[in-house]
Amino acid sequence: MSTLLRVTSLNTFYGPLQVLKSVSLHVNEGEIVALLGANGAGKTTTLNSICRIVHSRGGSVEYAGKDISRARPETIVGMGLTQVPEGRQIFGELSVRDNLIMGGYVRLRGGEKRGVAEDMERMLDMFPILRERIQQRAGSLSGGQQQMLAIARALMSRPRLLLLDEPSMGLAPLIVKEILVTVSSLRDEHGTTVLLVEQNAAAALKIADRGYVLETGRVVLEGTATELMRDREVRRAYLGKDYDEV
Amino acid sequence: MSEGAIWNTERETMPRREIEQLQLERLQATMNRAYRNVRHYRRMFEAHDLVPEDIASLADLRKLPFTTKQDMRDAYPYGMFALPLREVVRIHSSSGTTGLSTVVGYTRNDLEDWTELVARNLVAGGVTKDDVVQIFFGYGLFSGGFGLHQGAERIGASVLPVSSADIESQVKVMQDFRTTALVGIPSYALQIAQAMDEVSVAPSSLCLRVGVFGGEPWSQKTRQEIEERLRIRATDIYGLAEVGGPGVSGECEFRCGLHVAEDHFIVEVIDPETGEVLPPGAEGELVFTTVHKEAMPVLRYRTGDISSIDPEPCACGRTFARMANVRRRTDDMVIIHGRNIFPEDIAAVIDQAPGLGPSFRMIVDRRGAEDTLRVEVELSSILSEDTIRAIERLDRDLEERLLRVFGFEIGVHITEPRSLSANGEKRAVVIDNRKI
Repeated sequence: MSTLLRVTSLNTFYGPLQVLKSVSLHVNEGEIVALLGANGAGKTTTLNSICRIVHSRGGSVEYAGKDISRARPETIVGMGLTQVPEGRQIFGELSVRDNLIMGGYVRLRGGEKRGVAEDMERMLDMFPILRERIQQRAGSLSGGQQQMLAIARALMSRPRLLLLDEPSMGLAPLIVKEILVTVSSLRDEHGTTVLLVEQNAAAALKIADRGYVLETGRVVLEGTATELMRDREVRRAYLGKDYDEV
Repeated sequence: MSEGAIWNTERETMPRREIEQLQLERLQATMNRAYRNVRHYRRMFEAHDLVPEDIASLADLRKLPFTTKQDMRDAYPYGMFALPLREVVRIHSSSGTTGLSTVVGYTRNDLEDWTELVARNLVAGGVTKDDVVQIFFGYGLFSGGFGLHQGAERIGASVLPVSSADIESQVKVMQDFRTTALVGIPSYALQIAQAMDEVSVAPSSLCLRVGVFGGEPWSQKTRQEIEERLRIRATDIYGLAEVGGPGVSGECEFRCGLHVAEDHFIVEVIDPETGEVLPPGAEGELVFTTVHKEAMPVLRYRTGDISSIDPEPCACGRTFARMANVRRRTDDMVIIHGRNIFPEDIAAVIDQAPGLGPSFRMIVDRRGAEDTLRVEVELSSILSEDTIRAIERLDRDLEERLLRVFGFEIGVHITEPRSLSANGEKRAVVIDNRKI
């Protein structure tokens, strides 16, 4: 198993405030890795630092053997590293179809019109609900459907590594399950590697191979999903169980 | 599983770059927890004006001061724990040969890791699921017995937890239960061989195949003797209670040093005088940092064990660095008449002297201004001939040998066979009365 993403000692600041403190992690090809932690722990900042949406001081990010610490965000997308942002951030006024086309934008500019059209078909096969709503304004979809659209849109760029930010946020438990089954099948059927940020640790650890727990900008735990599930601190702090229950 | 088997190929053959990434990630997480939860470490960081994130690379580790046996004693019993006792499912304690014992806790994950690490060592030493493993490490607060027991069960061997039973019982179990693998302290294995001689049990009448030994420094000569007398292949394992017991490192079939479980430990070798980190190959004191322990993480623990590190991959396929077999300890060193004498040096002389050993004690006294060294050594077997004269002859013989080697007089006192080596204790004990 080769290392696809290698993050070493990232330090990220918002003004004078240090939000990431020497964060190191790695994702192997074909893995689903969960990044867990409470609100404000630095999970999203970690993703944004990897994609260079925010800049960090010191440390390094290596993707597919290349140092991307100084790369531009669009170059990074072109290399197959795509982020699905928190809160979906789909284009509400555009149709489902146009949202998907936007996902293939980098490739369209590269002249891959045919490939993008084929991928659109693939996405509609994978997410039949989106085919039903293909002409509909994206803003009118339900929360779960919008999340599906956000993932499908990201997949249009043919990512090798998908960074998923809180796909379960604001969704009903049943929908969360459906989304995570989808993420799981992305890896199993399409070989997509996933770095999954989740506050819902229980759900994330069900599909993840390994995980990291962030706390106020520092990684405090690292381990296999089984190890983290067994960790009483994780269970108490992130699985919402009291000491008596764990 | 057979010769050359590897228990966890994914981990034990990781490329160096991946080992280092994993070590860094785990080190940082460990430091963050130790800083948050262990007063000793928080103070240590603060005293050096450091925060955990200052350690941004493995090389930065040397910014941290060492943790010593004394730090552990000061925290006795639970002060070094990073989690409350309710998270701890097992407690062991060091054997306490150098003073007050230190206490180590394990969470469920820690036990799981420990079992895995010992399983790796046993497999590297040639033990398979088909073996009948007789463990004569003590079961108790000492971590040896339970540690090896879990690992042997994990690989699926049939485990005989004989523990520190008397020698006659050990031999009987070996015969009756058809033991194929011995696990314990090497000097005790020699005593078992001795006892077999005395009651005329031929090794060829047993099913013994391999032996995995540790818990005390032992020489190449001891290994040869064990192998010849018990007709087994003997491999060395290493561990210490303070960083979690056995499972820290172990030899593979090539026996060219012990592979350190680098996914769980960072090993350094330092100059014991200056604390300076020494390059690969240089001999010095071993320092370990645990990177995956939950209940009791340990940062830069000075072991007192003398060794060196070879980071080159091994012919067996394992990529983990190898440490040279530990033959001596810094705190067992006796400085007398300006000479540094290790128990190992005395052991080498005793090994040359017929009829004596293996166990002995070194006793240092100060009479007026003069320091004296005395060696108490046990007879290898009961003498049949004229006892007093025979003992006098052995006594004189050893005194002459010691004088020749060390250049000053070392008194010898001979004791009954097995009087110093009851039930699997260490081969050499140093008593320095000058310190008191």
